[in-house]
Amino acid sequence: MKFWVAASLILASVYILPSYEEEESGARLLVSKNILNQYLVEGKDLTVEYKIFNVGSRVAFDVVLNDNTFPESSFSVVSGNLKVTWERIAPNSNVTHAVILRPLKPGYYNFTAAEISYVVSEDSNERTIGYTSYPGEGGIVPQKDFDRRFSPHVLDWLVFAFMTLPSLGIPFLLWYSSKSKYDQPKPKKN
Amino acid sequence: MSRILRNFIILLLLVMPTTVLFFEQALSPNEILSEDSNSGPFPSSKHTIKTEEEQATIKPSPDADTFILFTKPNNPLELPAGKPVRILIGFTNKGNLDFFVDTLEASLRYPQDYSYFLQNFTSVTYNTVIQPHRQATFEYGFVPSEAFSARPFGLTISLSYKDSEGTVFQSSVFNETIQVVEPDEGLDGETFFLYIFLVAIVILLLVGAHQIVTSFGRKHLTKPRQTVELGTQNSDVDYDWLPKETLQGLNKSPRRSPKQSPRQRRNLRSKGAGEE
Amino acid sequence: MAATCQICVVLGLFLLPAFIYGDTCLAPVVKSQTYSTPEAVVSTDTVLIAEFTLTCKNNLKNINLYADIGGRTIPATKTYEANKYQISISDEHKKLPPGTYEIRIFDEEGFAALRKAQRSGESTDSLKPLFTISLSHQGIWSGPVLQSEFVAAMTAIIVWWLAYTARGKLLA
Repeated sequence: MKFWVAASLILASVYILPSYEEEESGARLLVSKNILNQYLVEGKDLTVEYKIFNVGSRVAFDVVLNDNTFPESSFSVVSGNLKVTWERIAPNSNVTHAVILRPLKPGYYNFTAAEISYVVSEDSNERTIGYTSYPGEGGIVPQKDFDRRFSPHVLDWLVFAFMTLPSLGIPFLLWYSSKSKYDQPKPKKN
Repeated sequence: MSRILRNFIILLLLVMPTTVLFFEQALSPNEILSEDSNSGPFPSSKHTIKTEEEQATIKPSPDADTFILFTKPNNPLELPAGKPVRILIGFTNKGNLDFFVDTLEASLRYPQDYSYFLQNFTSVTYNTVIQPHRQATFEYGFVPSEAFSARPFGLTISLSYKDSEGTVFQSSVFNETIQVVEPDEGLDGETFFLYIFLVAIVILLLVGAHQIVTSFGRKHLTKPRQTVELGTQNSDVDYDWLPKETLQGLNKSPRRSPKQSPRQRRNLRSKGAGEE
Repeated sequence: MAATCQICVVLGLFLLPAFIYGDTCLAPVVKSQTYSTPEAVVSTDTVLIAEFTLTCKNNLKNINLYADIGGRTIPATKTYEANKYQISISDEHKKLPPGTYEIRIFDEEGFAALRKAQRSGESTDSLKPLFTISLSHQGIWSGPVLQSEFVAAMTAIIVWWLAYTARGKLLA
């Protein structure tokens, strides 16, 4: 009898061993963080996009995305939240999150990774902590420099037109005065 | 006796499959470490490829686990040429030491001979510290050259990292043969102007042929004819516009005026001059 | 015994609706804020964000909500403020044209019904959402219609042309 018990124990242990492998085939989140701007300008919106992909075979529970790499003194939040959570992310699916910030100071800024944490199974206490991908260093251009390059310069053109008025206006007035003087004889002839 | 035999057979039947399963599972971690998208059929061939590449004896660390995901074209086996390809690489530190992730390299190689580089992509330096039991994601992008469309290539992506003791590791994250396909662009500037150019050439050829045909025809017709200077004939001239005096003067001397051509006038003048 | 049993059953029947309504939000009150990408310089993809705060009469906190925008079904992101959610969509400029987007928000039951309709291929327009948020996207401003340099150059050319023709008339 003991012998059957032993055999069944061996059987059971072998079949329970697979649970150690479940870590590999459980939930796995890959998170990318990207800045979608073409130009980073002080005072203009900065779009940050987070994409979370669950490449595992199980649901990821209680996913918390926390980005504390944007200090309040350098960036103000226009729209969106920097600390968010999802209750579950299904396997082979992805979730997008976006935050709009406004840089308050010009200069070089190193955009680093945000933190993500999740639990692999609903009742587990151990949170898996990971870091997102990071965009790297970017330069925030001061508003004056960006305007110098890209704004329509309407006021500048109007000032230019006003300043060219003397050099165009004086010959025009001369021509117009002589034209109005000498144009009159013609109608008299016919 | 028979009872013992029977028990033994039953025990054997129970234990053998379990031990076989047990050993299989012990072997499978190697498969998962090498982590490719279809790691099913030929694990042995992958191991041989790895040993060929590790002639510098840089092996992946057993404490690190990598995973690759293609985000931009979802299917890694068909990459459009000339368009950027984006990938995400997940790195898990399963060990107890910090890992420093250094660089990621990617290259396109000749599918039959993996040591011959066809295109080497810019390697990216990450220089990130990953603490034990943490995960990290890295993003990478590359553009397969447009010259390489519609051919199979071997794409290798490898990640180099070292641990806090200084041991250097390199993990091959992706090592498979892919197909570079032509991107379907539809109507774009190049093809549009190409068609216009072709139509213009066809029209040019037609016009040239037309010119040649007509010029040949004209040559044959005009050769025998010789221009004969006839001068102004009498019949077509219209005298209505002349004032009355001139008409009367003309009618008075009819012989002189109609037949007076500049040549005759010149001859008359020269005769007159010669006579004088 | 039988009488108490019957009373229990009757009470249970009465309480049953309370258990059912306990999960659904009654009389939802929504305060929302929306954002859409204003110009191409700011973002290479169009991003639409809708943030809203939900207040339920039966004081439900942080229930699971799902959104349906233009055929895309996504779960609503929960923030760390009570009952505050965010919905974000990002895609190429071509795929999110300017206009008004109706974001339909469903709770768990509504979402299950939505998924069932999607799987069986039925139209999902008839399903009644918990509430709807309107997001108006102005469109991406990718520069003025006429560049100021172009206008200045054209003005200069016109002025020159007038002077040239006048000069020609004078000389003739």
